[in-house]
Amino acid sequence: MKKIYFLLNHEMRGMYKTVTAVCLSLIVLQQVLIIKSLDYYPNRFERFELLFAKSGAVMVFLVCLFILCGLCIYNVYSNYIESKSVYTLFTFPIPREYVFFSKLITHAVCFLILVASQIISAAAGYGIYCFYNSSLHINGLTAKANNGLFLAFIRSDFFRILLPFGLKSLLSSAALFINLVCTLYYAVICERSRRYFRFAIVILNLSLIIYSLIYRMNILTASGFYINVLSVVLFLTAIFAVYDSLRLIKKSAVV
Amino acid sequence: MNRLRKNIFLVVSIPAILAVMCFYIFMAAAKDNSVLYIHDLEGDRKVLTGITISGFLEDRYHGRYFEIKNGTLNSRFIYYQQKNDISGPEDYKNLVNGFMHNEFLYTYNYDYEISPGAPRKEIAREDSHAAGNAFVRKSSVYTDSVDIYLRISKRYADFSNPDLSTVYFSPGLYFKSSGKDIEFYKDEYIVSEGTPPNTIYTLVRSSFPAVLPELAFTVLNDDLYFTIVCTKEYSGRNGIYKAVSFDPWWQNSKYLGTVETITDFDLDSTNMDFLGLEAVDNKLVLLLFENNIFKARLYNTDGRLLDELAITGISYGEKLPYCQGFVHDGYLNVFLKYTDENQYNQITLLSIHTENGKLNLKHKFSEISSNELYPYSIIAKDNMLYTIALVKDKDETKKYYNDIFTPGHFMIYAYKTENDSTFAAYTGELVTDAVDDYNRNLYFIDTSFGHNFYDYRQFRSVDVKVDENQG
Repeated sequence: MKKIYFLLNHEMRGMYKTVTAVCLSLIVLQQVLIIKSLDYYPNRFERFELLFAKSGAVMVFLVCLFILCGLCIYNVYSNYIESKSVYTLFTFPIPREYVFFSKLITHAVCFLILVASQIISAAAGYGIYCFYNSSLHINGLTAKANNGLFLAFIRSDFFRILLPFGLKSLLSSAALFINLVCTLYYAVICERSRRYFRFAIVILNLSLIIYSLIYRMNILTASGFYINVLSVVLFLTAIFAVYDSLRLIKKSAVV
Repeated sequence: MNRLRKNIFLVVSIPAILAVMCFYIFMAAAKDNSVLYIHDLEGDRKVLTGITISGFLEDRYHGRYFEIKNGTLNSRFIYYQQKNDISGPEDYKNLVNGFMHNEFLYTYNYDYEISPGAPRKEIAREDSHAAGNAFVRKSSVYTDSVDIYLRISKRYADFSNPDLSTVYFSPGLYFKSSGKDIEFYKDEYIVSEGTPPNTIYTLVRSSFPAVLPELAFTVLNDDLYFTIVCTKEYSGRNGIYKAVSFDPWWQNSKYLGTVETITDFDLDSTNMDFLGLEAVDNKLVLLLFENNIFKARLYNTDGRLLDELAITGISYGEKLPYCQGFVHDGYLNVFLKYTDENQYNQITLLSIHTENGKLNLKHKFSEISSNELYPYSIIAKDNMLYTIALVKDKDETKKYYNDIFTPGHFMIYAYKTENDSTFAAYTGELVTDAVDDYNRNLYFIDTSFGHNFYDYRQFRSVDVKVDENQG
């Protein structure tokens, strides 16, 4: 356990500064966009979840997510290309799968930090929105909604995928999240081990992620009950990616 | 500092995990923070003892199931995760021109044709070309007599099957204008010289001097019964009909399906306005005005008149009152609404009990209201009558852009009947914060991407039941 904890800290030390910068940028940029949107007077009567979407804050999150994906890929590559530290790690008296899992867990935590930043940003944005709305009265009615932040998290398609409030949706989001982290790492391992045919699995996983996202976005209007099936498939493909990654690492196929 | 760097994984991961945990704790705590309580406006809530009012306050993302049992409110939050979690889409109770029974949706429309032998006056309009370069000769035809044909379409309510079965028949109903000419657009599509033109007549509705007919449906033992809702200005025949079978719409014959006449009336020798048809206690109740007196007539399915109940004091003008029936346990509760020339609504609630082939008037309550009232349910229990309705305040409507974008109030009314007199015993409102959803319409309305009612919390699947144990 101590060994894996040492590895986790080792991995995180290489990433935390960039991750912090990305997350701070996310919070600041989203607040700026919300304030700019509130400058347009009719938007002050808009619901927070719709204002959030209209402001472009969701795009900021997506950009940060892609940056983080790039950072995770870079983190693995840098071990092989720049510092070649992975070879040093493999000489340590620790099982190779420890190295693999330490990276995987570190990547997952980086994504979790981004999600946490999004929660903080949404709460801060709602505070700004309430501040602007506090004095708004029209025809004797106030524009501020009761329990507005909760409703925003419940009603926003974006937040419903990122932070669902139901078990089925939560499992689906967890499956998406785990699959993304595993697939990114698996793609790098496949490339490093020159197993290019295995990219079919990577493409399949990414397609499943995209399909699941589209399905989740339309889940309240489309017929069908695939959410659990999709979650299971995503979990299974993620498990396969982990299993195959470990197989390749143990076989020393990764160069 | 060095210690922090050594444990950097925990330093960054613990706050992230805490933030996500705090989020879920906040969500769990906030899910019941919505406003939902009963505000007693008039009378004692004890009169609600013995009934259970239930329903959903929902948008397409979440709902709150509520139940008012013996005057006590309970509710629970529901997070919608898939389409069939939403209660609303199955809620086809008040369709404008339709009726849903089991998995089928029945819709109707009328065709209007110039009566054979009626005088015609044709005035040419500007000709044009249609698709396929067909030449269209256009004219207006003026007449004074119009025959009315009814089409009822039957389809699966979930649109799962494109099969569209149809009944198309003529009850023998027509309208004869005594003064103003009725205009039809006549379009003759001429594809080539020598071939007979395809002629289409379209009624110009604005030239029709009477209120156009509607249809009242009801289902008894899985059979569809109907009557044509029309005023006494119409002539010919109307009655109670049963749709025996439906034919595919593409079948090459003018009349489709089989219709059985249960009973019919000669409108030329009577003075009848037909309002509605309901199935109660395995019998049919026809609601009508005869010689301007409201009547409920009880028929069996063979068309035999079993009983008639005349109720005085219900007035109406040129238009028939809006009529909606609610049936339970041998009771037919009728909601009648007529908007007078001063834009006030004259509302009448009737509760008619059917027992052993006899009709008895149990409750009758009338009032004049400036508000719009849309009943979810009306239920009778002993000497009490309960109405659950959505009410839109006309003054409140002025604050919003229009009636559609104005929130409604969920109202509970209880009436008591003593010594043949019915009076209001209780008025209460189920107060919610769903009104906040309409705040976005206070300043302006953006419908550039359409308007979805399911973005607004609304009351759905409202049901009222009599508690048998306490009844």
